[in-house]
Order: sequence, then structure tokens, then C-alpha cells
Amino acid sequence: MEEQKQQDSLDLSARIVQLLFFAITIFFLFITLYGAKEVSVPIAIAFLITLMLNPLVDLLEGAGLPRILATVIVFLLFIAALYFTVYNIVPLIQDQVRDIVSRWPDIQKKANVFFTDTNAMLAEKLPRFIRIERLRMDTITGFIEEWSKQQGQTMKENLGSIVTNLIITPIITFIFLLQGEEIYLRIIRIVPNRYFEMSLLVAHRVKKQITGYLRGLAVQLLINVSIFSVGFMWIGLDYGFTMGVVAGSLNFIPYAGPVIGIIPALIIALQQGGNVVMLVLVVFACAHLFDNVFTQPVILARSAELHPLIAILALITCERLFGVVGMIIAIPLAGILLVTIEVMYNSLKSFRII
Amino acid sequence: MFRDISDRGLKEIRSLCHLRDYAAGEHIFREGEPGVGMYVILDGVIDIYHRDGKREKHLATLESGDFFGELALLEELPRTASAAAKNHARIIGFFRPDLMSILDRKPRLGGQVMLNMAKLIGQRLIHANMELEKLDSQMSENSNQKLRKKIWQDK
Repeated sequence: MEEQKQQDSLDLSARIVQLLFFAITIFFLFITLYGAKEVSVPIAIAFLITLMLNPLVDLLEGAGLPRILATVIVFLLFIAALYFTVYNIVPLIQDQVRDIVSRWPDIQKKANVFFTDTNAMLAEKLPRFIRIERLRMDTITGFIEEWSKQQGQTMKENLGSIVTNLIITPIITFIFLLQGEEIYLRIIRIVPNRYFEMSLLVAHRVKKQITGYLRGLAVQLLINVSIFSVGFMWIGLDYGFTMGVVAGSLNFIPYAGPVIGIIPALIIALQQGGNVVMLVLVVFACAHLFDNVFTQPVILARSAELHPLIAILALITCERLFGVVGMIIAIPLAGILLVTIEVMYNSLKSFRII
Repeated sequence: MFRDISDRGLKEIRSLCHLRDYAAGEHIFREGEPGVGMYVILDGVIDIYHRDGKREKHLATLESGDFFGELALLEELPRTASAAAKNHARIIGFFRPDLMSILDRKPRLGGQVMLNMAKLIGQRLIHANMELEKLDSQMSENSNQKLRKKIWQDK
């Protein structure tokens, strides 16, 4: 009887300890998730940068350097590259954008005249098929103007968080680079035995796929931006460099990206007149051909292929959630999600869990 | 597997290994699942068995100090047998991603592990060959005896 009583009180205290443990865990999870929501953008950016820089840190560590030293070297090199870009390339783009803004009414007017003339000509020659008289150039330019103003306003309003993110992102990246393996081991430790091997395999495959995908994406971006910028500057398009950066960057978005990306260059070409419009289209065709014949099959061969609809949905969602920064990280994040789901599905099937 | 590896190297490997506890009857892995890596038993007893249709065939009982599943370190092949803890067991897991990480980050250490692995597989191959030869001679002796018996019977 006495023993039974003792056992009951032991059970009760064990329950209380269990409950307390779960309550504390849930509380910490809540706090962490609440905090994670605030720092989700820097964490996502830091994660992407880490995935790209980690092989370099591993390489230096493999050459005999201690991890901390390898991390510091790679990190400083990355900051130096960023500094070089910000101080040499950004001002160039900034000047060109400022110039475009000052000449905007003129550009709009000339493009509008071209559009009206073309409309009239098409309506005359193909009256049954072409009914786009209402579509005027100022609809497109007005949309670009409105969107830019909106983004500028949002950026001004969120200046505080942008500065915070600029400070937090490098810190998180450094921590991820230095202690990523430890963090991963700590997370994997809490996985139940039944799913342990599977989790290890999934994590390994996902990491491998994502690293390949991101590296491919970065190379593709570099190639596209280089082809467009050099091509546009070579044909003598005004603001060729900026237009090249815009067209090359938007090439990320399947199908719609190249078309949207070429619009600013075409507007500038229309304003310039002559045969520049034709030359812009030739550069566009060459870049697109190179992308389809070489970059995508060779560089992005085994990476995830994003469906255009998914890509556009990801862009809209990330733009709504995080603004312009969200748009930059939307495609890689959507790619990562797709790769993760694909690998998880295959792994769960091979482990006969689904 | 980890023979001739310096203390520093062992420390490095240990930092990547996974210490796991299994209750009696709990599976470490099941036959047919993709192999991810090997295990070293620290404490407890592990049963290795193979399922042949509905029947379970016991293959081995492993104890503290033994290791199993090492071939999965080299290639992701389906497990050819299941492993389950007979009683409460504490084991160390060392997996292919960990080996890849060592090969990337510490190539010399990774090379040493791979060399030991190659030696181990070589030894197993020699042992398997010897067993095969023994089996072959036994079989030919048996068939000779049967043949002789048949000849005598026919006469």
C-alpha cells in the first residue's frame, strides 16, 4: 500500500516534470519563431550566401587551415567583392538610372509616338485582328513609374529594418559558415531513431542539390548579365550597362522573364531611334540562344527546373512579403523548396514511409 | 576501420559521429532501406537478420566493439539485412555524408579512412574467396561420392 502511494507520487512528479519540459520547450519555440519571423529575410539571405561560400571554406580547410581562419579569409574576400561591386558598379547604375529619370518624359513621349504609329499601321493593315488602339505606351511606363515610386516609399519606410538587416546578415552568415556543421548535428540529434537515417540522407541530398542549383544560378546570372551588358554597350544602346543588368537578372524567370527584361531596353532603343531597336532584338536573340543552347543544358543540367507559374507565384508572394529584396531571393528560394520536396518525396518512398 | 589514425584525426571523426540510444527491439535499420552508413556498438547486443518470405533468418549477434553496415559508407545500396537492438544499446553512427565531409575538409584523414576501408574489404574478399573454395571442394567431393555411389549401384 505504502509502496503504491510512493509510486503514485513518483508518477505524478514525473508527469509534472514532463509537462514543465514541454511547456518550456513550446515557450522557447514560440519565442524563437516570433524572432525568426523578424529575422527571416537576413536568415534566408545568409543561408543562400553560406551555401555558396561553404565549399570555398571547406577547400581552404582541406588545404590545412583551421576552420576559423578559413572562414575569416572567405568572409573577408566576400566582403571585399561586395565592397568592389557597391563602390564601382552601383554608382554607374545609379548615374544611369538618375539620367533615365531626368529624361523620362521625353522617353515616354517618343515611345508613345512610336506605339501610336505602329498601332495605326497595324490597324490599317490588319483591321480584323489588331484591336490594341487603347493600349498606349503610357500604360506601361505609368505602371513602371508607379511601381518604382511604391518600392521607393516602402524602402524609405523600412530604412531602419534595412540597416538592421545589413548588420545582421553578415553576422548570421559568419555563424553559419563557422558553425553550420555543429548546428546541423544538434538538429539531427533530436530526430527519432525511426527517421534518423532517412533525415541524414535527405539533408545530405538536399544540401548537394541546392548547392549545385545555387552555383548554377549564380553562373547563369553572371553569363546573362555579361552577354546583355556587353552586347547592349557594343551596339551603342544608351545606358547599355544598366539595361544589360536588368535584362540579364530578369532572365531568371522562365518564359516571362526575358520578355519583361527586354522592355526597358526596347523603350530606350525606341527613344534613340534608328536601327537600335533591331540591334537590341538581335542581342536579345543571341543571349537567349546562348542561354538555351549552352548555359541551361550544361550549367544547370541537373538542377531543379522551375515551372513558370511557380516562379511567378514565388515572385509575387515574396514581393508582397519582403518587397524588392523578396523578389531577389524568390527564385532561388522557390528552387530550394522544389528540390527539397522532390528529394524528400523520393527518400520517403525509398524508406517506405509514404 | 579507424586503425593508425592519429588522436587528432579520431577527435575530428568523433565530432562528426552520431551517438544514438536504442531500446530493446527497436530497429537500427530495415532490410531494403537505402544504406547510409555504418554503426559501432558501444554497449548492448544487436541482432542481424534477413527476412526470407515470411521467415526470419538470424545471421549474426553483435556485441560491444563490433561494427556493421560499413559497405553503405561507399555506396547507397539497399540494406541486405535488418539490424535490431536485442536489449538497450548505445551505438555510434558514422555515415556517408560524414565521410564526404571529412574527404572535403580533411582529405588526408579521409584518405586514411578510405585506405583502412579498402584493407577491410580486401580482407573480407579474401575470407569470402577461401569460404567459396572450401564450399566448392566440399560440393565436388559430395558430387564425386554420389557419382561413385551411383556407379557402384549400377554395377
